[in-house]
Amino acid sequence: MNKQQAPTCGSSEHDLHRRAFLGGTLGLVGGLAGLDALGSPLLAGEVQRRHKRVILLWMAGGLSQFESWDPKPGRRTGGPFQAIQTSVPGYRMSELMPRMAARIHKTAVIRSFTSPNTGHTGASVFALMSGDRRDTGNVRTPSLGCLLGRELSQPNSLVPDHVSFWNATWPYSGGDKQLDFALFLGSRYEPINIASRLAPDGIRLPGSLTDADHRAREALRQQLAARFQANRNSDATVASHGGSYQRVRGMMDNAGLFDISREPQQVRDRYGHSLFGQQALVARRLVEAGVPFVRLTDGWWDSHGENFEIHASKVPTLDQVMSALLEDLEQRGLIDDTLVITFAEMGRTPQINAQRGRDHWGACWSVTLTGCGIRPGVIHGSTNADGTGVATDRVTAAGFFATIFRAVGIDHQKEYAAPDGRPIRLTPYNTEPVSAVLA
Amino acid sequence: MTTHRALLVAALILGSTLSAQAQGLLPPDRPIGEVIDHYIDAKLAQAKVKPAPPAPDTTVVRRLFLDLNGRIPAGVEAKLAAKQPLDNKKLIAMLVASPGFARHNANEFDVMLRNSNADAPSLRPYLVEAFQENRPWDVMFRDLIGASETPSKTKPEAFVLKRLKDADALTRDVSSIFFGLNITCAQCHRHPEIKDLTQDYFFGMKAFFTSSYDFQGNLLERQYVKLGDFKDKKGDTHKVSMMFLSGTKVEMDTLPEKELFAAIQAEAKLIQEKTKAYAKSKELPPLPKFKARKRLADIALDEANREMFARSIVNRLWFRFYGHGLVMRVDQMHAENKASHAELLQWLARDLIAHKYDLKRLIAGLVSSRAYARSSEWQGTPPAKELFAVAPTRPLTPAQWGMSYHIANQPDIFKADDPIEVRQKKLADVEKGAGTFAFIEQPFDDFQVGIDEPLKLSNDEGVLKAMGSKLIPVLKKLPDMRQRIHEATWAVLSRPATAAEQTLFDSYLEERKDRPDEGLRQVFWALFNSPEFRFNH
Repeated sequence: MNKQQAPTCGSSEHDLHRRAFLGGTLGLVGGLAGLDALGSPLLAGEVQRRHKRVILLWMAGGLSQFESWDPKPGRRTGGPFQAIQTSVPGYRMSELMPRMAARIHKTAVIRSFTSPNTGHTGASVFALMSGDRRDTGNVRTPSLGCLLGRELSQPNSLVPDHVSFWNATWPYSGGDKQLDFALFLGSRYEPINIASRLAPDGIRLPGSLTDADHRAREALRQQLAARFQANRNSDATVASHGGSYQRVRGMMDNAGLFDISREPQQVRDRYGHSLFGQQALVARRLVEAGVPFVRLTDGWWDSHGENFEIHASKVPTLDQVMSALLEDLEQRGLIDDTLVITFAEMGRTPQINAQRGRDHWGACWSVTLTGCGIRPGVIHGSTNADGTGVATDRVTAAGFFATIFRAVGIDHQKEYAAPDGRPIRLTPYNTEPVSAVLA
Repeated sequence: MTTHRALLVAALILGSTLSAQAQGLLPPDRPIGEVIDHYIDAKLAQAKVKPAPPAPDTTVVRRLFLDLNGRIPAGVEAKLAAKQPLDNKKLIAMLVASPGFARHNANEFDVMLRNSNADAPSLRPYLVEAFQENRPWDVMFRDLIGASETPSKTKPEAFVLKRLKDADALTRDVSSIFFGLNITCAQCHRHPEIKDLTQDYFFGMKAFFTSSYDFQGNLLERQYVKLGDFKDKKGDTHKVSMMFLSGTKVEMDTLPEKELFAAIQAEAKLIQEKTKAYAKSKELPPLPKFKARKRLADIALDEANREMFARSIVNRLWFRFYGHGLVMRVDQMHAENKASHAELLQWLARDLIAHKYDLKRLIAGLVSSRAYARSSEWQGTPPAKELFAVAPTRPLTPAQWGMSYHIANQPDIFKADDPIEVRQKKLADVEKGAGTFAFIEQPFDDFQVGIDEPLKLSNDEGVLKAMGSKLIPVLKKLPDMRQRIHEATWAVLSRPATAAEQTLFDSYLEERKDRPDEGLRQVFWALFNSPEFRFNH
């Protein structure tokens, strides 16, 4: 199957998305007040990154590097699983990931990632806020997803800019909202959170209304609002209210994108029937239609007890879903413009505790990058024999984030202004991307 | 640091207030509203900006209800107020006397005191009680930092207790909330804008909380602590000592290093023993002679320093009602960051201190100016916010939205002649049934309405079913369509429908006369989802 023959349901809706996706000027623009204030993200010199997209596979709770990308069989820290040869000579992965092992020559693996703190919220907040932002004091910065959603968004897009799937509920107080804030970027880049299902709430026509009445009701609201807005719309918050209402119909028109029954059975089987797999398939449909950032949160990896049972059950699903997603993106000709990341709050300890668990670990763990802007088959950095420390090429969270921005063509030192005027760079001053993994 | 230098730094950080006492402020006996207009008008004249005209009476009534009682007026209240020209002083007096005042301020202060800190607890029960008895702000401050002599059942000191696990955040929150100065940058380096705000200030403030600990849910203090050192950017080590933001230092009696270490060990052991025995004995470890948090409160509220404390709450309340602080941002109140109306800020702070930190008086005063009651409309680009030439358009908080939604949905809840007690009881019932609306977000600086909110309000069957469910049966009792529209607009937007709106709704309903209930429901939806309902304007 090549990209020209990508299967669709035959609906004209796809033509619509494709046109929007190709940079057409269809449709309405909502919630742009905040954007205008910052200048359009699509300046002339930046056109080359127009169609870039990012999918973040978030291993919530912390995937063990020992049971995945950096096994240490036979060592005291190694655990019961074996390592297998991969498609990159000399690089071995956990036997729990045979499918990824067979295609790892198309991915870059970083085994020397280091993060300074290892809490579920603190660490991931810092990381998602773009890599240990001690440099901004307590000025909140937008999350990675919101930044990428904005940087990679297209004007006049009919699709959302930031979608976040959860196959489990975030168990910590404050909830997922803590992780993803668009702040001064504007509401358009806030995530649409979809937890434990495949489509967001409220995108279907309610049964109590006809489609005509639904449209008429909104038109009536707009007429009523017009007088109020006329002399107040320079206020970004007032403008965002109208803008968000205007995007409701656009979201409803996109309902089909979230419907995987439109995919051939063979494709659905390849992703598997776990919620994570199904959400990944929706994610592919979304990026294909032009959604610039999708996050897939796979919970719950926090294996303080029974680490090996948890990984024996979860890693094969990750292996299936990730390999299916990458293969699918490749077959549809999307992989060169789509960056797929695996990341988490932390890795897991070399020590195996009394409950046969592994605890939180920041000193050395593994992350991966595949696709857009990435040099395939690079295995960057290494850990020592027991996996207790970085042996070569330490990579910091800030450096990793810089690499992500650079891979999709964004200057990682680009400056935003916080509301108090303080300059905030996408990554801290003097951060360098990991050039070894960049194409 | 010599006394002289300490004073100099104090002046720098406080915004040179010490010398400003001599300047000719308006006399203290003038009403707050008049003073506000005096200073605001002077600046407008200087900038040659003609401010927006007064807002219509119905708008001011709605604004005052939302700002003082956290809800829109019920239809009957709004209509009653519209029967005669607005006497805003009378309305303000009525609203601040109402129990809704305590409820609403408890909500607002609860958000303010959290300072977006995920560890911060809700202190609503305490705040309701405090506002009901109009507890002065300095007393509340002592309660909140656990420096009060009389413990309260509602545990205000949880403000500190729940933040103990992150002393840096506690230090930041206390400095920001009560003194308007976020000193986080001084944690790692000198403040970039205030040269004299060195790391000593951050660690000096933090030191007031070093001896605090959580004993079985009680906020206690140890007798013996070692304050330790911090390193500056060059790697040089500095000794920490307690120091208030003005530069006032506190020297503690301390033991020689060796003895101190032994005393700390002994105290730790004692606490451990008391912990073990606590279930049976309910006995607390002994309290120290020197109470650091009480000392902080004493210093912050003494004559030399209290203006900082007063200015911070004045500025925060000003921000709440005028949509923009006299100093922006509200946690960056220092000498290098000038107030837009320095004399006004100073006058208000002086007034607050002179009236024993009476928040009710301050709030009632802040909303009594002409500047407050201006229109929020402006053709073209509005003038700079710090001129206060036009009233702000502020998104409702979740609490304001929820109460307003319920009030609007039940227009018959109040009768025009309800005695005040009956009205209060009805309000309490509404509040009990108010429920929460998770899809309405707590606004923050530069807040924008996300897509979740209109999706929920547009398409959620549960929401749609509830919306108007109590209003429609009431409206249907009215004989004709015009009256129904009239009542619905009063109920939701707190004003009569304009002729254009009457025509618009008439034709909308006419097209749906085969399904009149649905038509009304949709009109009602449009009213509820209009920005005019969503914002305090």
